[in-house]
Amino acid sequence: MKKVLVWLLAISMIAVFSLAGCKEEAAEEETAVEEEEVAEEETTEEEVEEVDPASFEGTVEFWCFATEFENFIPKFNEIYPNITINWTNIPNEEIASKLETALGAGTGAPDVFVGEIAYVKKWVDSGVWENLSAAPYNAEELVGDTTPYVVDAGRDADGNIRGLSYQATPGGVFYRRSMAQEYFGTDDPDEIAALMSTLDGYIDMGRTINEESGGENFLLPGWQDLQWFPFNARTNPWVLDGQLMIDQPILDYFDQAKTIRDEGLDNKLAQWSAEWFAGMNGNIFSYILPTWGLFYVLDPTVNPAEPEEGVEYTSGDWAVTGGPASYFWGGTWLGIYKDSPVKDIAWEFVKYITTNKDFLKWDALTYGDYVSDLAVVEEIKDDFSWESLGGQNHYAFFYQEAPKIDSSKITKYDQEIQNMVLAAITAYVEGNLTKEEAIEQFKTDVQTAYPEVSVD
Amino acid sequence: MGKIRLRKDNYGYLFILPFFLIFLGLQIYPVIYTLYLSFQQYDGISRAEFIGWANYARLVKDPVFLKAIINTWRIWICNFIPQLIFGLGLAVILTQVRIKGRNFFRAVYYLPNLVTAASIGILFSALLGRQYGTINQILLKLGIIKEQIYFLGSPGWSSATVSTILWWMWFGHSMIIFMAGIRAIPDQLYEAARVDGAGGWQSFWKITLPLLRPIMIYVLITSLIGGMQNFDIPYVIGEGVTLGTGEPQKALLTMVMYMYNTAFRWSNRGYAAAIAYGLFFIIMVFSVLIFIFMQRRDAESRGIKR
Repeated sequence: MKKVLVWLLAISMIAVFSLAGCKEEAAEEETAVEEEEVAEEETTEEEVEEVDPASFEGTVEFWCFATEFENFIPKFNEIYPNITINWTNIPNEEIASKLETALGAGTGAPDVFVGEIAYVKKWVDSGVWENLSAAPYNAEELVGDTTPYVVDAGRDADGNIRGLSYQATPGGVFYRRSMAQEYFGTDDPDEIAALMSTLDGYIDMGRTINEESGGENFLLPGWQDLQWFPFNARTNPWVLDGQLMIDQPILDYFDQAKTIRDEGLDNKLAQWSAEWFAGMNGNIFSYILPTWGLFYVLDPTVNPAEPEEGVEYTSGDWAVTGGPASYFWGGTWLGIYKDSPVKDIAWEFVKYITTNKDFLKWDALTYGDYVSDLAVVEEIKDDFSWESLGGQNHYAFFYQEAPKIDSSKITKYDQEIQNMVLAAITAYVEGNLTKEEAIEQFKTDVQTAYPEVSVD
Repeated sequence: MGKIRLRKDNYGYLFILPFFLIFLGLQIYPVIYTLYLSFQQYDGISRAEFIGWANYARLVKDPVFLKAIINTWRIWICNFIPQLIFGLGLAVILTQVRIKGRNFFRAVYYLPNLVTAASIGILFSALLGRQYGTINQILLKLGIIKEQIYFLGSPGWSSATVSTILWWMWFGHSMIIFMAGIRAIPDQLYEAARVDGAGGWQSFWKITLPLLRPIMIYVLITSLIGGMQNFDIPYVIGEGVTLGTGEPQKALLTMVMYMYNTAFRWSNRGYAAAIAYGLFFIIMVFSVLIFIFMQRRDAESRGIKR
């Protein structure tokens, strides 16, 4: 009997503690609701038609890797002072798996989270993002001016918009003006573009640089930097009807990479390594980067806020032009978690960041990011002059490139499959495997990772 | 009469309850949930689907899993044998030879063990960098090599590199344990040996080594269990070059890394759970083997005494 009593005591003790916890929370929630109601009443009296942004209150949990939100959130709060955006900054390599864990567990998932191009389809296709085409969001009415491929990338299989983006990310080739002058007699973007209009032409430029500099300067930091040309030149998505598609540009890429390495045209640097960045102020002629590469990668490296002594920075010695093919790389979409308790204010945030013209214009003029809204782009594209690019108007260039982008080939497999291709090409280039063996390794890797995909 | 005492003890349950709640919630529950997951097809987001033994059927035939097992063992053995030799050698030198500042050496050798894996990754990617890495630059300047070695680019080099780093991290740890073991050996044995005319080598082979055997088995078991779960060093070493996927040619793909890739890169939680149970099974088999081996030893030594 006494035993039972002790157990009862123990259990009730736990119950009391846990209930106490709940009660506190409930009390807090109640007061919050009351406050909200009061606020709402006030605003309905004041304004009849337009909803005052200040009337939106609450906290939005937001997971994102993009550091530009450091500036975006204060800007948003100028208009919406009573919405707190609780930003958790998670590196891009980790955010997808962290989100999957939170979404799978069903608790702790943020109200708004981002999808980078590599995994945006996971969120779009699996339906974890709210359907923004439906009421009350009616996003279709807001995307009239948005670059079409950006909207399409955020659509699910039924054509509903689930993610929106503030940027479009066409790419180009950034090159050093002084080296262009030295080796090719011109630094004019159009003339350089003509020289590199084919991959063979581009590789030939590398040969010239190699010969004339005596192997001191290089066309590229590494052959991996070339990847976006072959990846975008594919005619099929990586996986079509459950079948792995290895298109000709990919097979050619094996040979191009081998040529570049064997003839000493690249400096054997791994992308994003410290040495790779240092090459921008060093002996590398060109970097293949998209729109965001300018303010995210190039500017901070060639024109840093805290310059180091002994480094000759190359700001102003750069220009951007078209390479062997049009391509796009990256992009960040925002969506609202389908079970978020604060969808209304979450939507205000997503709507503001991705479709507010004043905001997008501010973003473009301040940071040089290429924004997704074509009306904004058309308004500002003609009077841009960028310091690190020697006063070049990069906006006009990207404006030509953006319509050439086709986002229909994006699949949820892209990131992993592309990593596997690069690993296979590495094995071939380093001489560990023959081309046939490397292609075989690539197929086996895809099969191991995705048994549902047929590789033959 | 026993009952009365038992009742008294009941209050104790209250005090140990928090431990058991945590143990059940954070240890037993995941173990059972992983077992449940291993019978599912589950990508982490959509609905899980029951598929019976399919994940295990795939596991026993999976050549990549076999490769991961071999890699894990190779990396472990190539690090454990030198670790044992160095740890034991240094322990003998630091306990039996009079050296000035032996405490200093002891601390220095142990130091690498305190560095976190992430820092090791950064440190070694600077040292092993292909073009401008410290080691390559030194070897080039000394004229030992003509062209930079791509330490992390060839299967053999990268595997050897990881074993070397693990050896460097752990020999100090083994050394400390061996030193404790050597200190516990009674001095009289050495004195008696010296009186009988035994030299340093003889006392080492006939006294130190046999009496250290239990300690060596302890080091072996802990190192084996740690070695089978090897993940962080191959991951951080490969991170800058191949995103930590176990490349080149999967030479660095350990069992835990394969599980990680399957679960979090390729979003196949069900199969990853089956890999986890495969790993569990392997560690269990070897733990049991070592346990049996020790029991027999124990029985033998008792038999000798009698």
